[in-house]
Amino acid sequence: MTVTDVFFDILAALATSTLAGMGVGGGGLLVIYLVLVKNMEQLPAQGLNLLFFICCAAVSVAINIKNKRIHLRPMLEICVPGVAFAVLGSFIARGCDPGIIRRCFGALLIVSGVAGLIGTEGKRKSRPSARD
Amino acid sequence: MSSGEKSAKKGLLKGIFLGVAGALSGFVNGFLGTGGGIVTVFALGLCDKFFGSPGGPGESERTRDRFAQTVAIMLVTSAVSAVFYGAGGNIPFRELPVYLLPGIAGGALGAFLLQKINPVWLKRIFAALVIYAGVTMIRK
Repeated sequence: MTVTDVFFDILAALATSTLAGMGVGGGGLLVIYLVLVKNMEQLPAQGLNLLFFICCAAVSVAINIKNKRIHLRPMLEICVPGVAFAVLGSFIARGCDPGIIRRCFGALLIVSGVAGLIGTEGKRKSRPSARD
Repeated sequence: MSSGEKSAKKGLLKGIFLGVAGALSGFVNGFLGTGGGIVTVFALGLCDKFFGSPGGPGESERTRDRFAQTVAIMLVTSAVSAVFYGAGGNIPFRELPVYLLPGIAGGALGAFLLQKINPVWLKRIFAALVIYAGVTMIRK
């Protein structure tokens, strides 16, 4: 790994987490960089992204617990089945062709991009103009 | 039907709805290593719309709570997914340190910039780039 590689890795991590912190993009940004720029295999890229997210989100969750924004009941109602199906999803991913996972990931990106475009358009239309 | 029965039925439906949303977001998170947050934040928004109680905090506060709740839920499901990815040898631990510190700094920088600028155009450009990346991923 060269100094240039490290520089671009740091830049990518800074850019993706800044955008995620602004609510502009989801956590999949790092996977895009790792797969399309670094040519990393799909599953290790997803694994690294999970660990990256855990480290970054832990700080945010600690602040939100302190600010009493985390409510236990909905957390449990979502987390219990969420954890069971996360195990199932991880298990299936391990036995699945990486090409299929990459295409599913691509489809998720397209859906999330289209939803992002529609969402910002809706906000623009609902915003009152200066003449109102 | 008495108001107590109506309230119990509403609570049950809400629990089932959140359970199904949790299952879907957990599966997406485990299978793709990301994306569960999109499902969760959308489901919490719908839940608030259909089952929300009047007289609660304002929309802006509820939106903040939904995002905070989503990050916490994703932290738990991502930790479980990461254990399975790690057990399968699919986490390159040696690569992590180079991304970690800039990642934490970027998260704080993003939260700071969010108070200063309107990210609508940034979101549009980003959405177009994400669609392009999605097509590239499918065609790769």
